[in-house]
Amino acid sequence: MSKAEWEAACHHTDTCALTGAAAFFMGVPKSHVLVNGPLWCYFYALRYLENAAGYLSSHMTCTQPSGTAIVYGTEEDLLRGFDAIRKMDAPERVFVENNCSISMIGDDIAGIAARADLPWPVYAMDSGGVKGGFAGGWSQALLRIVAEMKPQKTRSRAVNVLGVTPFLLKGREDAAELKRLLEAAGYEVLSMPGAGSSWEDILRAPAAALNLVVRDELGLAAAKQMEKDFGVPYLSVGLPYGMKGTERWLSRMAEALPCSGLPAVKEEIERRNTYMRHLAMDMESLWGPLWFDRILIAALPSEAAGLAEAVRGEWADTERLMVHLQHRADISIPAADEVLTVGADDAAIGAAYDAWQGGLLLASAHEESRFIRLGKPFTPCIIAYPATDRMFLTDLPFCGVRGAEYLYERLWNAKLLEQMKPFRSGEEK
Amino acid sequence: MALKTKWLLTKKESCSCVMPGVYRALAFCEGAVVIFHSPKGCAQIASTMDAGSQFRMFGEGRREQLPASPLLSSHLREKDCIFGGTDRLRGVLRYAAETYHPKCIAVATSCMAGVIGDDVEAVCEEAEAELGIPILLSPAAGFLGGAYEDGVRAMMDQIIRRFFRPQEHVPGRVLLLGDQMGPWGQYTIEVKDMLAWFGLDAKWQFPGYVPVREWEAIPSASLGVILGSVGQANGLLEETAARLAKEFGISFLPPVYPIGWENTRRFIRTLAAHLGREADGEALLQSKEKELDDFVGSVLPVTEGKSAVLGIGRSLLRYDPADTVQSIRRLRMKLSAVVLYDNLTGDDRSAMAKAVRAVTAAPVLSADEGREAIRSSDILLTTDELLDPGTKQLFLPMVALIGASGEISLLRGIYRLLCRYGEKGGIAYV
Repeated sequence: MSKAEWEAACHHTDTCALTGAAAFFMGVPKSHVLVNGPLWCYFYALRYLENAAGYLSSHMTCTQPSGTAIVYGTEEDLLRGFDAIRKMDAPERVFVENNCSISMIGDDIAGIAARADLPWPVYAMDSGGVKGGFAGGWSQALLRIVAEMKPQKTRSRAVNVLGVTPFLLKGREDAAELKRLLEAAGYEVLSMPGAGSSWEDILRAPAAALNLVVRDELGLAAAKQMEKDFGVPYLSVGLPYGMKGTERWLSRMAEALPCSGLPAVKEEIERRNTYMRHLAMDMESLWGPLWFDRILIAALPSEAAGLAEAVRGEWADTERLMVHLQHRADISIPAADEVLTVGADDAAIGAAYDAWQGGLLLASAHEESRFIRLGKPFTPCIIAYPATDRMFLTDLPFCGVRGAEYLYERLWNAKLLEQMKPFRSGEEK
Repeated sequence: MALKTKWLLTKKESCSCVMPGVYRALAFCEGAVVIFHSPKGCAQIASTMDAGSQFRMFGEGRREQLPASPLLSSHLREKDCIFGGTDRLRGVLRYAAETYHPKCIAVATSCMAGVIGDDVEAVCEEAEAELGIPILLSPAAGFLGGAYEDGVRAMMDQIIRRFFRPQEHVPGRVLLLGDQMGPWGQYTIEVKDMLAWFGLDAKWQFPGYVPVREWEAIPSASLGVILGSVGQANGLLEETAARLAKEFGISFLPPVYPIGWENTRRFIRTLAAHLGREADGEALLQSKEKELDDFVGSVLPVTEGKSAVLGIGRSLLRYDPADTVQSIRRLRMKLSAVVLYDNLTGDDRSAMAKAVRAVTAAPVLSADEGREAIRSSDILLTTDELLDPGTKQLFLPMVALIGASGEISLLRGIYRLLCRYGEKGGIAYV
């Protein structure tokens, strides 16, 4: 056993698979999730999901089995749970998720549901902590739905986008931006499973000419399965960040599946980038360069890779850029001086925290909390959940063209807030 | 349309788990390491709770002042369900010893490990002998046969049994018993402030906030104060206080908790009587009452004559309506009704109705009956957030506010909500 397996939980921001699976199903309209497990697991999944969508508790409930369920099974608890759904919700389908200990009982959930004569289909899966983290649950939930798909006639310009979820920070907005860009480029976006696409659209997914995998940890397993089952090829392309990054991302798409609208999107990028550079020159002439001694990005692999290239390649300057991946990935990030993975390199991550002397932190409130406890100075830019000390309300994305403008604006404002702080607090010399 | 609360579930089983209780009991004890024998996600949940409580402190303008204890997980995986997870527990115990050189390790068992049937006790005994480090173990597994309080209970019991040593008591040295958001929370700060008035030094807050190296010295406290509120945790704290009194001779203040102003008065008088310093107690009371009266006087022009409804969905174990009723009176407002929400059921509902009738003659209504009363009142003081944006609501905090400063925070919340313009509605938190 590697020592790295035991490192302290303080570097880990990942949830368990129960949350990831619930995130997928809650991203399919008219679904109800019934957590077959204790309220404790349920509440934590619900509270996490409610970061991105309010009042989910009428569409996500819990069976609350007692300790004796381990011996006698959860049939009674499930039947009570189904009854509660009938009274409080009108779903088109119900997903039952077993937590880790209930998974081991081996209840025949399909059989229990069939005997209960329910007005909606019930799909069951095991999704506790032993199934992995958020990505493990989400990707297995998507695979569970792929198992329901049937072959379709291929549509020449149609794509599915796999790995998008509204339950990661700015996920809904990123999904909208991806759809806008793809459609502007001339593609037909057939479905984005788990990101608002209807059940019917998801089941039409095998008609796509290409599956676009934007987060491998969420979508790659399903893409491979769909290639095997339906012959749909896939492209693992990550998420587009920055103006140039978005242009590169679309060009890669076009190589895999030619499109007619690429020049129009490139023209939009050029126009908006020109204005952005104009503003940047004005700001730099007054405030100096957008410089940070160090930059640390702690994020999921696609975000981290795309942001590292955009931050260093387009937006800001630094001596050293470090990346802490929140999920294992076979990924190359040329813009980063050091890439460490949570769960594998935790000792090195701890050392990096100890050695930190200030700079830009692109991460979640969790990393902020660590820095504060260690008494380390930093300029924060929150890009992931938990986002405890920030409000995110507008429909601006992080990725794509609009995301490039928004993140660039936030980086500048973070710098300016820092630069003006001593004057506001009367501490200037 | 029926009243709808944000949380729709009726609680059938405990909504907690022993593992976070174990962690919280040692969360800021220098020299301790906590291990969850669990999938990784369980440790992440406790870690998220921990960060949440840190940000809650920031929200109140305070910050932690002690380093947090390392929290590790044995990272149980799917294959461990078949072959057992004891090797992984052994591995993480050794890792903890080599990496952190702790003076004590606490192990909490997950429901997963409980179902597998891992003999965690045997592994911990072996590891203790091998590593020479005391290992504390919570016997219940996850949500199976235990709740948060049971995790805290197991840790307190073992720390007392294995570390506390009888010794001479140091005059003026006080032991605070209970958590209440730690030494930097409003509760502890207020209690310390009151103790300081009498020249007492609240040296330790147990469990959770005492370095391991100081555990054995805790019985040198000459006075113990329970940081209680309402709820089953009080039972645990009071049992522990009785044990510390019996086994180590620590004299505990009788269990009077300064929640709400009336209880704060009782607390101060009980403390003063215990110390034989009644005159000093009266002086402290006068000073606090003046603070309170000055504040009430400043807001009465807004609050006097306004109507309030009290909405309750928590059991008596978690919420005592008497304090809220008293606060409404202090602001010279009229309590027009008390509404019991649908999620308060069975014996909990009957007990709450009885407790309400003991402190007010206002009608006690069901959620359906109470809708109109809520709509026509100026403000709703509520234990549950209602999904009705047309109602001005003040959420009654889960973590008790104590002392004069706590009462002022609550009254300020009511005052500010009554200042809210027009039909804006919404919910305010104290």
